[in-house]
Amino acid sequence: MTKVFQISLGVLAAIGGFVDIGDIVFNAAAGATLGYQLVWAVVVGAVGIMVYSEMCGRVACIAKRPVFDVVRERLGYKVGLTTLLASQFVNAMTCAAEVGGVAIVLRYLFGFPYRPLIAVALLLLLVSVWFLPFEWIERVFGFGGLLLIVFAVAAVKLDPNLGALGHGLIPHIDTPSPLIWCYFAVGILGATFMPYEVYFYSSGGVEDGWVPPHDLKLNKLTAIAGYALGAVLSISIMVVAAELFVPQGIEPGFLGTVALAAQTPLGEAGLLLALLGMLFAISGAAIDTSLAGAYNMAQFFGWEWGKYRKPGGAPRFTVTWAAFFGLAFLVVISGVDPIFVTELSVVFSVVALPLTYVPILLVAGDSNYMGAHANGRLASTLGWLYLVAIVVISLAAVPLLVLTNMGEG
Amino acid sequence: MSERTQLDLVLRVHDQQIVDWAGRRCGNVDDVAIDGEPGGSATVKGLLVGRDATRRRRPRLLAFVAGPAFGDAPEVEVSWSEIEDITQVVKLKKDATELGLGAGDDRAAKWIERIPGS
Repeated sequence: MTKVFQISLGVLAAIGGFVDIGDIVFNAAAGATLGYQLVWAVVVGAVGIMVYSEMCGRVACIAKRPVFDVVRERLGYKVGLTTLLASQFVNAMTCAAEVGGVAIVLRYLFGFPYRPLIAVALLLLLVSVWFLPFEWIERVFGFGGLLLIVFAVAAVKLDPNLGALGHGLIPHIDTPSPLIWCYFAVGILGATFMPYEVYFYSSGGVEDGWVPPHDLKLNKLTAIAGYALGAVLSISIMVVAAELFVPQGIEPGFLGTVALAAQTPLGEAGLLLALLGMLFAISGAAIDTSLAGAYNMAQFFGWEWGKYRKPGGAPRFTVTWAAFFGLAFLVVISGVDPIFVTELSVVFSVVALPLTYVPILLVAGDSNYMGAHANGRLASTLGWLYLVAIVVISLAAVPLLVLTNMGEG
Repeated sequence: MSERTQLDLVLRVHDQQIVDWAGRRCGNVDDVAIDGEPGGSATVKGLLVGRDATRRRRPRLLAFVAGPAFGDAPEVEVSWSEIEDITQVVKLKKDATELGLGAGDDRAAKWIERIPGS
């Protein structure tokens, strides 16, 4: 059991990265619009985030340097500050979307009005992060989010077309609107690489006190197993949406529509598990983003940080994550649609994406820094290939968003 | 010390995390204070920490962001003799507060400590 708990950092980082509010709706929309055509994008994205998470976890383990420490050191103060601004905007917007998402799921579960539930969501998140130690945050929200496995069970029960699913692993365009295909492909890949995942993951490695050589293996296992689980959940949602929504021409624009997809094959228990899984996963993503924002500020300015201490042990760090939740509350209470906010944050991640991943790749490959644990040929090749992909995604995201009217055509 | 070595020293410590003797994180190296004249020998006086020390490296368009000192002193010079070691971090011989570092955390702590569970 201890071994299972050890990978909880990867599970929480992946849950936040793969099945947050935006991803749940986006993957379901991709499945409902294009069937299995974009399964490959989830797999390609998962391998990429595994490669980079392993790298930044290794840097955290060997050099005790989380990502934003490395960003400032390698890019310098000027570019580092630009990266900080862009990434903090993305963190804040994503956190707002997640807080709104938690309130939406609470409304589905308890039937109370949405706005008061935003305050309840804020209170639940603040209390959780204030009182729970880091390892329990990982366990409760990471493993709680795994209730979304109900979508994998639902997918199997729906007896999907395995031939079409296998064909989906090979990129192919089978739609009259290639731009829509590109929009969803870039969206899925872009969401997979959202920078807060690596901020959270690398700082989490330091929080968990990783030391070489034992924890280098744990880092590899955590990155691979965590993100593989996230990818399975993503693909399951896509499959369920393809099986249920394509024949009926349904466009799932709401979380509730996606949750109902688990009810069709599994009954009310399926719906309840799907909603509970969403509650934990989206809450986990909210915590990922608020802590990522606090890690970034503290590491860039050199403040004390860490959830392994009590809140008073890292005061400005504590004030910052609480401020992120507060800001998120103000954004969603204003009435803005959380799903629109999350799509907006993907656009702004354009600046932060390459500036976050370049320093990780440079430091992980620097033998002066990493000694015998610097990137080998495989990690280096994959790292550079994925960096090119990240730059292409960054450049393509905004034009595709505009040209396809956010995927509406 | 050759010119090359001096340059390496500045590159080595710029933007590094500073920790005090107890391991408390208390700032980053924002600049290095060097004594000397062009053509003559130069001596490293110490490390500069704080908002004002970043002025020359701050992008003009983003100047407003680095404006607040977040409760810290605008600039603190840490004498070279106060440095214990330079590894992945710059380790100091003394307590952060004694050297004027980490004041923002000390101030915020007074508020945070009033909340139960802190």
